[in-house]
Amino acid sequence: MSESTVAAATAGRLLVPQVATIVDIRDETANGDTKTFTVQMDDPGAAFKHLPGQCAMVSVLGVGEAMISITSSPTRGWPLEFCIKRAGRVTGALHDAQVGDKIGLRGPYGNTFPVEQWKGKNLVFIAGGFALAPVRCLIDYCLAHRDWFGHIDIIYGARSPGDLCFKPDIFERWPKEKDTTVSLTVDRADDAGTWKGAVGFVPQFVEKLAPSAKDAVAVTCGPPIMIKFVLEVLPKLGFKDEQIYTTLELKMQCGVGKCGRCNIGKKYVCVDGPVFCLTEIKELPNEF
Amino acid sequence: MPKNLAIDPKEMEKTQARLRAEAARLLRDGAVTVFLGHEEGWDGLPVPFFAKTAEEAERLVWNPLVAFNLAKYLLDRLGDDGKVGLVVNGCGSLALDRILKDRRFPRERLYVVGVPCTGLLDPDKVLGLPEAERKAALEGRGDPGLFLKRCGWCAAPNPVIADVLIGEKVPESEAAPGPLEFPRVAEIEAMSPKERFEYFQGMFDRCIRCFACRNVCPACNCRECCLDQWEPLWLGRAVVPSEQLMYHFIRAMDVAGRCIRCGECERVCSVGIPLMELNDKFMKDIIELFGVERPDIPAEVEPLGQFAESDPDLESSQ
Amino acid sequence: MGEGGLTMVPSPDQKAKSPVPRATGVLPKTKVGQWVTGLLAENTVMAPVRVDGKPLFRELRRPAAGQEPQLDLESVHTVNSPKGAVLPQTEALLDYKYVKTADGGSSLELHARTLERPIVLFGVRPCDAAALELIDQVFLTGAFIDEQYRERRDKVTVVAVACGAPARSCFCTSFGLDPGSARGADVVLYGRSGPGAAAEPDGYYAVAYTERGEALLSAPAAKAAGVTDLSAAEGAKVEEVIAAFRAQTTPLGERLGKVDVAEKLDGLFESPYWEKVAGRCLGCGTCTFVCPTCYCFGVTDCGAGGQGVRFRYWDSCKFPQFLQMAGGHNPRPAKKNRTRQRFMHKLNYYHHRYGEYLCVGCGRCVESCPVGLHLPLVAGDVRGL
Repeated sequence: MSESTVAAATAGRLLVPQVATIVDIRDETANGDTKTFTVQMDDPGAAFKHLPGQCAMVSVLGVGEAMISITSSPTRGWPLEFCIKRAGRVTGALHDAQVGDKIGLRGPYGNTFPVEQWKGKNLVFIAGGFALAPVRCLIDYCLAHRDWFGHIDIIYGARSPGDLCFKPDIFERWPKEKDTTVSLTVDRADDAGTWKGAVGFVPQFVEKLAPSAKDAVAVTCGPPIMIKFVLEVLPKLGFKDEQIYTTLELKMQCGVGKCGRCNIGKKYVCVDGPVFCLTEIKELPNEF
Repeated sequence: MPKNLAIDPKEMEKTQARLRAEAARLLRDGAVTVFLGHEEGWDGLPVPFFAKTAEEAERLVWNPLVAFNLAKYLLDRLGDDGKVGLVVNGCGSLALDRILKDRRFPRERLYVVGVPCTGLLDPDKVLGLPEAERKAALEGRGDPGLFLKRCGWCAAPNPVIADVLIGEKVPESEAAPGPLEFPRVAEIEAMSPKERFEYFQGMFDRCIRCFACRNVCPACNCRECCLDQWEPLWLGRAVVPSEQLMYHFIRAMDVAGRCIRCGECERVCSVGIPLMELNDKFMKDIIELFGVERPDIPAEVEPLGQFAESDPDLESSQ
Repeated sequence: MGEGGLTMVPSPDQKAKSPVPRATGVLPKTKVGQWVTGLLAENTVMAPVRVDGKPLFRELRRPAAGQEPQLDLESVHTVNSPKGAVLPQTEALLDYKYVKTADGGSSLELHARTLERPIVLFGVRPCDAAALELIDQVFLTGAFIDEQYRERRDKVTVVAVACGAPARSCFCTSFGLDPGSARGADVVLYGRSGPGAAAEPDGYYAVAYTERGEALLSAPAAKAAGVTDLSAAEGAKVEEVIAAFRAQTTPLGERLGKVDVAEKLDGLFESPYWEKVAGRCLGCGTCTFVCPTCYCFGVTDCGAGGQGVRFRYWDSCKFPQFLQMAGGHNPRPAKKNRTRQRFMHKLNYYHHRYGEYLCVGCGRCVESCPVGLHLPLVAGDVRGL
C-alpha cells in the first residue's frame, strides 16, 4: 500500500511534488464542508520542517494543486495537518478522497509570522470560521514557547456552533493553557438551544471584549468581511498598524513566485506573504 | 469586387464632422452617457474610443480605416446606467444586429448613428505602404485590392439599424446583396478527407490560442464561453494539435448560421490563419441545405435556430 | 551544468557593460542553410521561417536529402517570439500514474521529463535574445530556482542576427538595447556590408560572445559550412560594422525616447487613466503570447484512468479567468484592473524586483494588438500624466 516512486530526476524539481498519504480525515464542521486532513510523507526523507504561517501545495494528481496553510504546529512534527474547505475542483477532490489515498505535497512555502519579535508581548488571536486553521498553527507554536509571551487571548467565532472548527482545541485544550483566555461567539445560535456562549459577529465581539493594545500583538484571519470590520475595531482599542498581522490569499498556480499570478502590486503572496503586517498591507494597492 | 466600391474622402470628412456634432449633442444633452466610436491611434490606425463628454466627441474620426467593429463592446456596457450611442457603417450594423438578435443587449438602450458605406480599406495593408501610396489609398486612388475582403460581398451598404443616418444613402439598385460564392471552399472540398485533415491540422498548428478571433467575433457573445469552462473541460488547456482542432471546430459550429461574414476573426489573427474557410464552409452548407440566400444577414430566427417542416433532414421533406 | 555559455544573472553593473567578442568568423550567406542543416543533425533548431506569408519562429524539420531549410532572415521579427524555446507554451512537468497494489490499495508514481536534445536558436533578433535574460531572472533567481527551466535553458545556444533595418514598430533603443546588441546571445551575425535597408549582405561576421558561442563556431557543422577565420584586414572592419549596427536608431524608439516611468507609476495605481485606456482591450491574449518577455503560466493536470500529465501552459493576465478564485471572488474583475496589471508588471513591478523593465521594445504588441493598446502608447501616456 505504501510503495511509491519518485524517479531520481524529479528529486529537487521545483514543481514536482513528493508523494504523501492521507492518514486521517476528520470533519470540522457539522455540515462536512470543512475537514482536517492528516498527511504523512511516503518518503520520510522528504518530510520538511515548516514555520507558523507557512503553506504547502497539496495535489490531487489528475485534478490540480491548491495552496493550503499548514494547521499543525512545527513543534508537533509530522504527520502534518491541513484544514480544507470544499470550494473548487481540487478541494472538492480532496473532500472526496479516503484515508489511505495518495496525494502530492510540496513545500513549505511562504513567509512566517515573526514570532521572535513578539517575545514579551501579549498575544491576541482573532479568527473566524475555518480561517482558524493558519492561526492554530501559530497558537500551538506560541503555546509551545509559552514563556516567551504574556497573556494570550484567543477570540474565535463562526456562523453557527456547528461551524466552529477544532472543537477539542477551543473547548478543552486551549482554555486549560496557562494565562490563556478562549472567547467564543457564533453569528447565530442553533435551534436546539444548546449553545450557551456569546452570540454576535466577531468584530463586535472583539470590541466588547476590548483586549488591551498595550504591549500586544494582534493576529487576525477570517473571511474578508470579518477582517474589514476587525481592522476598524482594533485601532479603536488602541492597536497601531504595526501591531496587527493577518494572512492574505490569492489564486495560485506555482506557489513559488514564478507564474506571475498572485501578486498584489509588486509583492507575491506566495513568497512575500501570506503573512503581512498591516503597515505592509496599507502600502499595497487595493486589488485583492 | 463589386464595381461600386469607392473611397470618397470628401464625403468621409463631412461624415466625420457630422458624427462629431451628433455625438457631442447626444452627450451634452445626456441622451447617452457614452458614445462608442473610433479615434486616431498611433501611426494612423483608428482605434476604438469611448467618448464620455462633448469635448471628447471631437476626437471621433471617420475615415477609410475604421474597419474595427464596435458592437462587441456593448457587452461591457450591460451594467452601465443610461443609453449608449455608437456609430456603425453597413457591416458594423450587421454586427450590431447580431448582438441584438442574440438578445445580448437591449435595443432601447441604444442610440445608433448609421453611416452608409461604399467600402473601407484594410488598415494593415494601407499602413504598410510607402508614404505616397498610402496617401493615394486614403484619397481613394488606391489599388482595389486594398479594400477589406468583406467589402467584396457587402450585404448591407446602408445600415440595417439606425436611429439617425449620416451621409448619402447608397441607392437600392447598387445596395442589393447578390448570392455568395465560395471558391476557396470548393477547392478544399475537392481534397480527399486525409488531405483535408492534414490541411486543417497544419493550419491550426500555428494557432497561439490567444482567443482574439473569439473575442472580436460578434456572434461569439455567450455570457460564459464553453471554451473557458473547467467543468466540463470542453477545451483542454494544452496547446496541442487535437485541442487546437477542438477549439476551432467548436467555435465554428457555435457561430454556424449566425456568422455575419465580417472576417474580423481572420483579420485580428496575429499568425494569419484563414479562419473564414471553416465559417464559409458552414455558410455554403446552410445555403444549400436550407435555401437561405444570404445567411450572413442576421434573421429574426436563424436556420439552425428553428425547426421547420421543410428542414432537409426530415423524412417528409425527402 | 557548467557555467559555460549560460549567462547567469548579471549584477546591475554587468548589465550596463556590453558583452565582449571572443571569436569571430565569416559566414557566407549562401552557406547559412548548410550550417543549419549541419546543426540539425545533433540539435533541435528553431529559426524564423515563412508560413503562408507570415514570419514565424518555429522548430525546423530536417530537410529532405539535398535540400536546405529556408530561413527568413529578412523579416525583422517573427510574429511569435523565441521564448517558447525556454518556456514552451505547453510543457509537461511530470507524468503521474496510480498503480494498484497487491493489497488492494494504490501507489502513486511521479516521473519528471528530461530534455535530451540541445537546442539552437538560429536567427534570433537582439531584442529577443535580451528577452531570454529577462525571463531567466524570474526562473533562475530568487527564493527558488526552477530546475526544469534551468535544464532546458542550459541546453540552449542563441545565434542572433543583428538588424540592418529596424521595422517601424521597433523601439528596442527605448530600453537600453540596440539593433546590434549582443545581450543574451552566444553568437551574433552581422551583415558584412553593414546596416541599411539597401544593404544586401553577401555574408555575415559571426561573432561569439560566450564560451558556448566559441564552441559553436569551431564545431564541425560550422566548419563544414565554411565559417572561416577572419583575415587580419577584416579584423578592424568587424568592429566598425558592429559599431554601425549598434549606432542605429529605431523609428518608434526615437518617438518614445528612453522609457523611465517606473518610479512615476508607483503613484499611479489609482489613476483614472487605466479606466480610459482599458475599455478597448479585447481581453484576448495576443499581446502576452507574442511578447518575448511575458512569462505568466498556469499549471494543470490532464489524464484519465488514473494516469496522465501535469503541465504548465502560457496564461494571460488579460484573460478574465486569470485570477478567478474558487468561491467566486475575482480581484481583477474589470478590464481596467487587468490592463493596469499588465503594464504595471512590465513597467513597475518587475522593475522593483530586478532593476530593469520587462520589455525589450520588439514591437510585436504594436504590430499585433488589433486595437492599438500597446506598450509605447501606455508608456508615452504615463509620461505625460
